[in-house]
Amino acid sequence: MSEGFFAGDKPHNPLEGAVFAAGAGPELQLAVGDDCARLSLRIAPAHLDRAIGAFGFDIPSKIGEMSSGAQRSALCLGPDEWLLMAPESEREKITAGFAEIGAQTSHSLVDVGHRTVAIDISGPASAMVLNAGCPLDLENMAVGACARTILDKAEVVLMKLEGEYYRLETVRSFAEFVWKFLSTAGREFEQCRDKTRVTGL
Amino acid sequence: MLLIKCPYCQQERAEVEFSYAGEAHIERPSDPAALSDAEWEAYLFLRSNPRGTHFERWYHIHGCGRYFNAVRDTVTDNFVRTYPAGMPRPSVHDIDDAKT
Amino acid sequence: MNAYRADQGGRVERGASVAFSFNGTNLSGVKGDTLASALLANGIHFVGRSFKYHRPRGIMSAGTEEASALLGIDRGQGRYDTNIRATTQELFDGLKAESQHCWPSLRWDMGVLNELGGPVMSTGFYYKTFMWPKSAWEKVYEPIIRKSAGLGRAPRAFDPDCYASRYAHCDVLVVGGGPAGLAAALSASHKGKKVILADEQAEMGGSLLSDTGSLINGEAAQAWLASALATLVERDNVTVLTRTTAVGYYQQNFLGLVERLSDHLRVLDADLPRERMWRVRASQVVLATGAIERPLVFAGNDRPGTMLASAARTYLNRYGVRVGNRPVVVTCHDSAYLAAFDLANAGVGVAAVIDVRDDVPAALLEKAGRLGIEVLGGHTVLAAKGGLLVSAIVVAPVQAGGPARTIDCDALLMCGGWTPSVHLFSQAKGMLSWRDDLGAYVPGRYAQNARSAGACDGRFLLLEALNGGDAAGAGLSDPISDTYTVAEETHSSGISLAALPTSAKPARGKAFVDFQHDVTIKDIRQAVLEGFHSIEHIKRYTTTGMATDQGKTSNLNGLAIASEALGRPIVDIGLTTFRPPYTPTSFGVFAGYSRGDLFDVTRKSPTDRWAEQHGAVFEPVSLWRRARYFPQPGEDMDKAVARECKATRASIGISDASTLGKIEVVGRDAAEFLNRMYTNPWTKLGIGRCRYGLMLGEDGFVLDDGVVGRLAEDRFHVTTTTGGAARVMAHMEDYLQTEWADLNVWLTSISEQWAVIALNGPNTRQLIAPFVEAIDLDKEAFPHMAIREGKIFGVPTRLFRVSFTGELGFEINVPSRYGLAVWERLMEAGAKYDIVPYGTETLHVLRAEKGYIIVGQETDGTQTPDDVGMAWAIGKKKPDFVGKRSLERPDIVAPNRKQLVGLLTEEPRTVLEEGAQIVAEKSASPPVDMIGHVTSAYWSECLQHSIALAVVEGGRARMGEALYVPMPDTVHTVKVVDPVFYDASGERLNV
Repeated sequence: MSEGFFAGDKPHNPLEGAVFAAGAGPELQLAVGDDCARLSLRIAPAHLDRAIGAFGFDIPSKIGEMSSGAQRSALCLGPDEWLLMAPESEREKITAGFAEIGAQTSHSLVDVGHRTVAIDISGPASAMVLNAGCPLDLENMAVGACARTILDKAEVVLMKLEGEYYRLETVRSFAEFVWKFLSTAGREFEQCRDKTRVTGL
Repeated sequence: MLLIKCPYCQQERAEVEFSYAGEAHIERPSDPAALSDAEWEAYLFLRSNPRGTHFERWYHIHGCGRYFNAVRDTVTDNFVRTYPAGMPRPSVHDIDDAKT
Repeated sequence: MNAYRADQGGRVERGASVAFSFNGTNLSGVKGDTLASALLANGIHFVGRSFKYHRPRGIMSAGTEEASALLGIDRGQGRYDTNIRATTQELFDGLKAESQHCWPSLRWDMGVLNELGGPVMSTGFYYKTFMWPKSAWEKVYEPIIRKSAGLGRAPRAFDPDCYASRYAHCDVLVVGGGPAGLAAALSASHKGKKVILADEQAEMGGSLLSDTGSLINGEAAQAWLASALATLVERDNVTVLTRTTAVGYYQQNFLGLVERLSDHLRVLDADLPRERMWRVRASQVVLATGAIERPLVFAGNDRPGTMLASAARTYLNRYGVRVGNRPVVVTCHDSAYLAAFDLANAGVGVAAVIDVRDDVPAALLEKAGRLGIEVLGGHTVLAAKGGLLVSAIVVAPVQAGGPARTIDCDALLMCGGWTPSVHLFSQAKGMLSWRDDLGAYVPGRYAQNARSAGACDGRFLLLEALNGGDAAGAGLSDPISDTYTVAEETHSSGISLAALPTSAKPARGKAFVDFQHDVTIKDIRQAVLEGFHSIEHIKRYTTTGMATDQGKTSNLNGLAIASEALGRPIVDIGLTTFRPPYTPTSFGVFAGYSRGDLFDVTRKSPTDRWAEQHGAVFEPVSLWRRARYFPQPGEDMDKAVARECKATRASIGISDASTLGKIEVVGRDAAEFLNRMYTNPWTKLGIGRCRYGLMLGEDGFVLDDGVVGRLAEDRFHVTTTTGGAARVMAHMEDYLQTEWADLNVWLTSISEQWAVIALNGPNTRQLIAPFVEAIDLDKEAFPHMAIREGKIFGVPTRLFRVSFTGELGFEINVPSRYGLAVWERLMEAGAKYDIVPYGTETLHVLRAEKGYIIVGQETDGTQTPDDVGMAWAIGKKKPDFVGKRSLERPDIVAPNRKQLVGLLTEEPRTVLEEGAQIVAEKSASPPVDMIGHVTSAYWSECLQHSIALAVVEGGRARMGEALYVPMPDTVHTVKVVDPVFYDASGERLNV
């Protein structure tokens, strides 16, 4: 981004300023995830090793698996589809890496950094709130697993980062809906609720 | 809600992640121009609609994004098996095996 | 203390008084009461009037099967529910209940006249009576029927409650928390299974809650219950859900459970849901749903004070309420004796036990004798007497000839045996089998991984329930284990009867089968006489079993009566289908979170916030909301659109086109893939150039369209219509994955990666020139239908030179989070060019002036490229593309297809109606051939004339012809013209 004319403008996240009213409670926290670089990678599975070389980090080969580190993470979403994520500052390095293998290895790398918005869901009630609209068996989902799935009326990519810590990615124009949905489903988990009313805890 | 085993994800997933995509094993003719009107009509419009074993396509649209095939009993709604697109139609023998 | 409250016994808290009102009278019950038990404690049996005959009705059960005591419940603040079973409504302080189907009051009800007219209100009454005269239907019959029809009154206020839903998974779902269900949950959870145990009542325990005599493993039944529950609650792998009804059992062990969270509370928390729909997927299901006692069918069996024998026992043992001071028991089954014995033991003078059977078991006779209860074996009931409360029954020996005798009573307890609750088993597509010895259907072949235990499986003994549940929960191969030892009174045998034998004339006194729908034994017999032989037909003709209770107490009696009338065994006449929901279920819990903002997704574009701040009027376009126009103070839509159109053609208009679908097509065979997906040729499209693409379905009809730009040899940026984005992606993936898997191509949705700002008008180039980097904007270097990558305002852009208005146009694609800022910068910089924002309405007018179609507006799924004047978009040299072969189909090459044309109205200011039909003659008498219709019509401010697009049979051969558009009040004359109204030579584009 060139200096000068655009200075002072920030990229506009559609959930800018969104706060979960009940967020003070220990049962559930919702937060808007940080922006990052996202790239959609399509490549023949046979050439995955070359992609790993270009990416400079492990890329899992099984659908639903995720590799993650401080500077890179990779989600396997389909038989030949991966979502690569990294800090925004790493984006050019990654695209350059893939450009190098491009000549001999056909693949598709598409910038989708602005396509989705991330929402973090954590706390003991996180799985219950997600299960308000997501049909997956989250208890049996391994930590470090991911899935593209449904949350009520929205498609999301869900990652289980820790036992009670999930992140989801939803396309930009659905983000407001997804946030409202999670906030609404989460209302009953506010701090001072009578627990006997909240079954399943 | 049906539970459908995606042959790519190798997992049973909820029906809301899928969309139905019509009868399976109806291959697009390699040279449509060579077909008579009647043959083209059959390819375009005529479907088997059986009571019982049905070969059909599903699209894991909110999952891995793959089209695949399934054998489902239209009476019981039970899936006998699912398999990747492009694999041959399972034989009666295969289906009986899968049922038992 | 309530008059009918026993001094001791039961699970209620006598010290905790609860105030409520019934039809405006203030009453009190105690904590732990249901509304029914509280009413009975106050000596109130008569609680409502029946649906059809407005007969006085009482409380007939103590559970979910209740078909009589249906009340309106007002919980305040607009919370009013109708047809609530008094037997399942927990009492809370301030509850207000009212009777239904009575006017002006419960006691003096005008509708009772229906009964006096009884003979005409027989089966099929509606079908037979209101046939003629035809004219009377609308004005007389229908209003009367509508006024009197319906069960209860619907609430009018907006539902203030919120509802929740949750998906859950478990190894074992146990439905029913009676002895069988508890044993199943205990054994399953002991094995480490993840268990959900659900019961519809406020307390777990089922029959144990009113069992005061049995011992389980040497312990009193209720003590065992308490420790079993404590064990379950303690286990982390068990979720115990009370007040939770399994309403539906679907494929692959998917069940819907409705948990009621607040209907028993006085003080409500607005943030907490009233009900939650659990959507449970279970590896295994244990059905422990119990059984429902069957009423007996005899004249006057609906008098208030008449109830199921087990219900009387439940009221006594669980709620400490005597249902009368002189009850009489009528039965054909042993189990009714339990009620008689418990009542006698509680000091209630049981008037008699009338047993239809000749040979009453000696043990029962002996015990009855000990308790001073008279047993009349081999007797039947001829009639029940009384008005608002039963006062006596007339009994006589079954064998005709014996003398009739009248026995005074103030409650009539009946037992016709037991019906296993197989509703869920049957919903799960299991096959029922008939047990003659039980006179009932029981689970036969299972269609899913499920087991039944206890009474729902036809095993009525407590011992069988516990050991059956234990075996089911543990997954043992045997149906029953020997884990539990039980000491119980074993009263489980009886006979089944269609109706009590009677010597009285059938016409005298109504003997009810379906209490909620007022269906009598005579109605069913009459249906059979009139030729209805299938139970499905009998059910629909008589409406038996079709009320909100779905025939829980009436179905089997109805079957037995029909079977007798038909002279065929019960298994031969079939069984009606059990359908979800098991009990009436609120609409709210089905809707769940889907109300208000969450009713559906409202997709907003990156510049939505700016549009909202600047007064845009929005319209929905598929799930998106798009700015329709931007009115200035005092402007209506027409004025705003006229201004926006003029300004755009004069200088610059700006609009948000971000909602367009976008797909990045990448790979060695990308051009070949597009060749096959679109009618147009792509191979020779140069890098940096764009082309309008037309997409057909395999049927040859226009599916979608959009501009496609080539970014590299192997990379295209494809755009689709807003509404077609997902459809086109699925369509492309389908062909790519299943027909042409050999092609080296990948598709990535980039619809939301890019914000798209469309600039149109003669000054657009000057506007953007200072802010664009690395792109030569010169008209030769960057011609119409070209795409360039560079930067604008310092952010990356894919800049398209395209136009949907006929003016010089650019579509600025920037990563979507920059969209709003870029828009704002353009508005700022554009001020000196009088830049004007416009919405979809102006967009439509400007494109219609140019004759550009909108897929879905000019097309409806039956237009070929030629129909819409776009034969030019077909790559003639291409051997094949999707839809090509269909363009040779006989009906598509037939003459006189409807073709796209322009229309000009004779009266220039008249704007036609979209969808209006077009005819060839001005005043022909009907029927008139309709030769086409108007697809788009607008006022064109630039042309100072109304314009329209239309599809008309053989339209292109009709240029200059006059056609007619008939409207209700007038006929418009129109002239057929070329659909391009503005700048036909395209000069304004190429500047």
